[in-house]
Amino acid sequence: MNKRPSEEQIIDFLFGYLTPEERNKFEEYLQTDAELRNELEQLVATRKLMAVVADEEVIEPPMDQIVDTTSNRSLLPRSVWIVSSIAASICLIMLMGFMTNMNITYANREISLSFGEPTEARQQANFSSLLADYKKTSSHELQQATSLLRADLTNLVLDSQERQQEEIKKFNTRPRLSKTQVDTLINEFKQANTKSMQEFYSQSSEQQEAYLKSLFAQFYEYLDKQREQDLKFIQANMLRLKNDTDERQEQTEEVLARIITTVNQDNSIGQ
Amino acid sequence: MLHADSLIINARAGSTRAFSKLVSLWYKRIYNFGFKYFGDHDMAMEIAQKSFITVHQSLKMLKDPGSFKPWLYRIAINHCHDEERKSRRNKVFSMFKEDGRMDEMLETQMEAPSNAPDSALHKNDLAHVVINSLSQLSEEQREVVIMKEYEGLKFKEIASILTISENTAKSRLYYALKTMKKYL
Repeated sequence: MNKRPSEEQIIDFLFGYLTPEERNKFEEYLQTDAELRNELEQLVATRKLMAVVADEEVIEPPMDQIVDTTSNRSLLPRSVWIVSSIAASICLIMLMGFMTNMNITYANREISLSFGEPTEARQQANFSSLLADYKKTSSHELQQATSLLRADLTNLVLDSQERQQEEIKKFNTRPRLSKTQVDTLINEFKQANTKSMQEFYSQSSEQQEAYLKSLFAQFYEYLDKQREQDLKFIQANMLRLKNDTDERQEQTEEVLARIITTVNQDNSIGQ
Repeated sequence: MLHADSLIINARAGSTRAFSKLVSLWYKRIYNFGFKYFGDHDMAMEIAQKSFITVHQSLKMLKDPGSFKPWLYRIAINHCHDEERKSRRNKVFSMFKEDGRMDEMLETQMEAPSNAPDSALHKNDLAHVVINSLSQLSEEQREVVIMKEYEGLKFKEIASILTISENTAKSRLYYALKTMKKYL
């Protein structure tokens, strides 16, 4: 390689894309070109510095956000939509105006909007007939409604009066008590109350007495049983003690007998 | 058929689940592309969001599932261009000496072991400077640099996405790196 490598070749060298042959030639040339060496050093250093920037961690947004936005967004720009909407509105107004014979007039500093033939006389006649019909219809209906309302009201009053009279009759036919009778009733009630209370107390005291008696009886029984058990225990222990003593006495006697026998035998052998 | 291809086919057929998986697979890449392009989280989110909305709208028009990757990047780039027209940033910060060599202090920082106490802080500062220097590049250079250096695309793919020749892509990368050197 006699001339300076191209930018593409420098990049290929930097990223290791050169073939071995091309690389050798490049390196041979590099020995002769200090400026290129310096340049390569700087490029390498720049790339090294760039490697400091690591990937940022990020959490993708929920799918709904992307899909919803997609479905809500239109492929047409917003301005096109606005212009189209205005144009469509104007067309609609014009069409409606054509179909309804819309008239726009300006008189006495007023803009008036009307539909159909603007014949004032016909409009006046129509208005008068409409007004007469309205009056006729409305008065008739009003009379009917008033009579119905009156009938309803009368019925309602009659019903309530009847109900009231019935209630009064019921109240009057109900049996009444004199003061003395009331007093007697109260006295009877008091006496009955006292009697029931006394019965309750007497029953209660009897029950308590019976309960206490049974409780004492159970306690005596328990004490008797306990005493019997204690006596049995003492008797058993005494018996065992007596047996032990007898046994030991027998053993002692046997030992003494053996000693005596042995001593006698020794004496006879000595003689 | 590759799994990715079947995902695209299903998403194209209207499967929300398949599309959701596609988003999961590619959202981070597109977000990071946008982030490096603008150096701004909100803009990156905007780009990613808009890109996937466009994908959802236009996926039916994608005939070859194999060309999804360049097609997606093309969409992202178009959105980047749109946003770029709206706002431009101009932040210049030089880390190189006048003779063009990298500042010794920076070089030391880069060679320093990663477990140094304030290594993360320096890395963040450096990353910020690099992102700023990227924003100084022209649109044409920036997109090539990001696609090559950060997205790891082949020159052939970059050429296809940008509808340029491979040599043009390489040339743009060469001048981009040289320009960035001035700002680093």
